[in-house]
Amino acid sequence: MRPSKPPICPRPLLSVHCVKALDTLLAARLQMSLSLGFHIVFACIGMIMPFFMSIAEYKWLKTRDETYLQLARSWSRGVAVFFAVGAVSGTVLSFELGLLWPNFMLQAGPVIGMPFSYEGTFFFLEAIFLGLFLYGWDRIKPWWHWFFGLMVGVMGIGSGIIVVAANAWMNSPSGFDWVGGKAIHIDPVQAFFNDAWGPEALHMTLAALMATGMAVGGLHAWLLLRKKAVSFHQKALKITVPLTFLAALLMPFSGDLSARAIAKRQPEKLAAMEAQFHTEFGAGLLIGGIPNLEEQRVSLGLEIPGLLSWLTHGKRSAAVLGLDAFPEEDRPPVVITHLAFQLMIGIGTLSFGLALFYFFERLIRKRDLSGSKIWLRALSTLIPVGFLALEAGWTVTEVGRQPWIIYKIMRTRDAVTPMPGIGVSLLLYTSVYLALTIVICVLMRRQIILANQRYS
Amino acid sequence: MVEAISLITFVCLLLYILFGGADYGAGILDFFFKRADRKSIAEAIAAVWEANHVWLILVVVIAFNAFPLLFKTVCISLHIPLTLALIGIVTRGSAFVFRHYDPRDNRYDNPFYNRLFQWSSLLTPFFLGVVFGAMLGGRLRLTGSSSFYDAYIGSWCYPFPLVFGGFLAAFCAYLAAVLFSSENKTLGRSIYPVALRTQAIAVIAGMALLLMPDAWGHTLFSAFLDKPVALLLLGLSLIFAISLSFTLKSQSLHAARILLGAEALSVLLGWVCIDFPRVIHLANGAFLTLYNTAAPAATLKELLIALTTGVLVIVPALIYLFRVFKYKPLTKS
Repeated sequence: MRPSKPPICPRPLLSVHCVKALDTLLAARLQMSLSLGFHIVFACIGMIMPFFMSIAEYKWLKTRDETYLQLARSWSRGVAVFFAVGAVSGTVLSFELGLLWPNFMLQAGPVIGMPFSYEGTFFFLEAIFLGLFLYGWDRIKPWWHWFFGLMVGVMGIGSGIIVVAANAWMNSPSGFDWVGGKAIHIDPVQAFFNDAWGPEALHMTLAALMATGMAVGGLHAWLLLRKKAVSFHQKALKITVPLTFLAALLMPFSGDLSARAIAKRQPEKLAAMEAQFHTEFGAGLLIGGIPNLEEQRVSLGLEIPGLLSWLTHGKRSAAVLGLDAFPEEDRPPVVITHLAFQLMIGIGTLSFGLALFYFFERLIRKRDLSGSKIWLRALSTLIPVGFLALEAGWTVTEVGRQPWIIYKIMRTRDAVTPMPGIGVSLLLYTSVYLALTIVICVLMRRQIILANQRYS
Repeated sequence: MVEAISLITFVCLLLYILFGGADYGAGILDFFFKRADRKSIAEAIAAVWEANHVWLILVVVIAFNAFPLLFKTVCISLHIPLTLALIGIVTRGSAFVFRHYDPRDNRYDNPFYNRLFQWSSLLTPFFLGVVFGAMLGGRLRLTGSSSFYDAYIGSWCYPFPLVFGGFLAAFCAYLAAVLFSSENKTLGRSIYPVALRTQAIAVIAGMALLLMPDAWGHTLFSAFLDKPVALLLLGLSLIFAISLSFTLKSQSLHAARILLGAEALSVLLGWVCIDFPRVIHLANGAFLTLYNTAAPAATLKELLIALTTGVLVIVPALIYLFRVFKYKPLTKS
């Protein structure tokens, strides 16, 4: 190979030269995170919205209140768009696993292919039921139509839960022996039912409900503040808000389950999440704070003494392993993992508080909040918040697993494609996904304006 | 076990070519349509197109599950055409739903949606064909000691795969033209001339593909000549193609569907006949086959169970979907 010139980079991101010079590993990781981060939004909407639509349709069938039918139908127009984009971006992902990480797939494919094959079946059924639901309003008997809509959601949640098994396996690999850089004695069933699957799938499903519910409910709250189509938006809130806050209420317990599991299985990930540089007895829980890598300490953080030890090990004096307990080449990046974790926890805590308030008002003081302007404003600020937490959570689990692609088995740098110039492909995908995002925003705006005109 | 999984893969591939292919074809024909036709075609495929493309996902999942080395080799050597096909898939699906769900009245005249949908419908099957052609063409390498050009561009950028891509795109357009002209009589009359043109292009591209030498100077035609059964299948596909041009005129739906299925089946079976179990022809003269790349038995067993249960639930659901949208009249208008 010819020695390559060092890249001259006057304006990073703009210069084609720099894109070409971008390190293959970094470019591949960025492209993967872009693709996953993009797909996950659409996948969550595809998982959760069918349930909201089913509730609306159920109420229409029971009460014959036209508003519910309008709600189900206008939601279904949005879902059709999101589902299609989710499906094609998911197709891209299934190829990208090989395009970006061919050496990973060569070994992992036969071990962890099983969840993918079941996910394929679930997804296929989801697409079929969605076709029946979206275009079958006038062709299928009402209750069957309702049932097919419900099945879209069931299949969506099912495929989500199943495919998370593959990611969980990367965190807690099992079902094979690793000999000389090869997976042998493969047991796909054991790999499928790996230790991390349960907590991860639960956390992800609740997160999907919370993020989608916040975005959709927030949007309706925001529109309600404009005083157009009031009954339409109020009914939408009645469906979305209780479920969303139910998920927010359960979230801390699921998070606690995940954190304990990580403390046991991936202590260096926990150390990075908490920016725990040094091993400590009676470690405190850190709130906020910016990790200072050079001095190996955290500045500007608030620490609650002993809480981390208690949360993860059940004893206030227990030892929590710090990053210094691991060889330098095995430590995950601290800054990104910690900040993403703080963002997720912050949003989770805030939502938990809002959920407590909501259920207190609803169940104990028997008050309807949908008339309160402050409450509606609060809800409408939540539009992006749930998805922000979701993306942050995935950042924690993925960046926190580095430098491994299969934890303690295969390093990410050994898995990456030998093809140079992935930076070009990254640029291509970034522009395509950016353009799609813009068009979707424009389209949703048009749909909302139309719905407001129609239903006021 | 390898044979059983190969058979299921073969069926998925056949169904993808037929259903996904007709779908791509509908997008290619969109180039020639007037506004009203555009809308009625879009409405005809709206309910089913999503399901039609899941076959591809199944093929990919089977590939990395059961034949990991095949998947890895294709993913490395054919990174560029695969990426282009994927960008096409994303653009195509998005442009289709965007156009369908834009609340503006003039959405089917919108050149932005139309151009995106048409070009991506043309280029996606083209690049998928290039990938397929390159697997058979004989310039793929396993090790990366060659130059960037040899490893990542020369592997697919030569006449054989490019003609393969052209043939696949033309075949998709022809598939759609035959199906839609027999499904809807008024539409049939307006696309009849287009259908004739796509037929001519598909036939010419097919001939070119048969006579185009691969990296070793062999042609597909000589390979067909070597195997009597393959030659018979080739002859059959020719007969089906000729009968198809009659159904195009008579617009009989059932005959068109059966003949199209038979046509695709005989061509694919012909390929199986001359190549089984070889899948990738390597630059060093060796082959990657279904046997020498197969995953361990435990994996194959679980995959087979998953696929069998999958097929058992998917097929009835899919038949119901097609029955509802192709045969069942509207309960209210």
